[in-house]
Amino acid sequence: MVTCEDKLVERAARGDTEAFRHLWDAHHAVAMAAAFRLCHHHALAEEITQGAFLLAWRGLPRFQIGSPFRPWLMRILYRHGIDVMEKQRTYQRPISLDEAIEVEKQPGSEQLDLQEQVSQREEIRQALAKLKPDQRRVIALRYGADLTEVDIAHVLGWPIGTVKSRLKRARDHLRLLLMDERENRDE
Amino acid sequence: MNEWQPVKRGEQEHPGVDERLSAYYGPALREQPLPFSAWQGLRSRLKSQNSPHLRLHWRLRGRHFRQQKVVPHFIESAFTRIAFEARFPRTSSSHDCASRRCALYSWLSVRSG
Repeated sequence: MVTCEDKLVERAARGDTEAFRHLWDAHHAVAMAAAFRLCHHHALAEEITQGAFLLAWRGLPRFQIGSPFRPWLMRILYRHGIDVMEKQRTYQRPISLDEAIEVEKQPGSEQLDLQEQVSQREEIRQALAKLKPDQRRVIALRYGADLTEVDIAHVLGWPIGTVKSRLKRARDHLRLLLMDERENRDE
Repeated sequence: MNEWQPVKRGEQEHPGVDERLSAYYGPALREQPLPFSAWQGLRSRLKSQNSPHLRLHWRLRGRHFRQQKVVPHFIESAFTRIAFEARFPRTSSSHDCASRRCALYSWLSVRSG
């Protein structure tokens, strides 16, 4: 059955920007929320969202009509988002107060003392910065996008066994790093 | 992966790490609509490129031309004749050489050697 969205996708694949605008209207807010959750930075999340839509526009001729658009778009977004974050070395940048305030404004975020929140997030950020890029990728998709190991394998194009082993190694490494950090603080 | 199922948190293998990472990334967020200017910015980037349909067309066209021979027929036949007269064996690599001068140099080096 051809849906309205399929028709929009078909038109957009032929270069119809108006049809693509309808797809943008329907999906960009969800994509932006996912990007913001990954990077905690509004401007960067907007850049990632626009970049993902641009990649989707380029990839539309290969899109299989009849399959749902949003999961396809989200796969592009997640892959693009973690690539951009690695390229821009976002994990190397200390968390700013502005960023913490932006995160705190989101409904459902923990209502901790702002300074305490920055300090806790900074500890994790520093530990993530010490991981290998591929380990950071699986951690971001697992915890920042709530993807299953199967979905992560699909997004990154890795075998499921590789995802599992990298995720396990990343968690083990993080646990050691965070324990070291705690011991250093207590001394 | 048609539905994005949230993973149940709290795998007890790494309780501390799981909790702290979950806190770091926070819960799933509500939709974050962007202003119309964001679409305008994106649209200008779409227009700077050809439509995906046209781009595919040009890519296929490029592939078609690449597969065609770029050396004029008279040059190729001249080389064939020279190689024949010099009893230089025709190899496939001499035909694959992009600038054809490679074939001439290799022929000259055989002659001088």
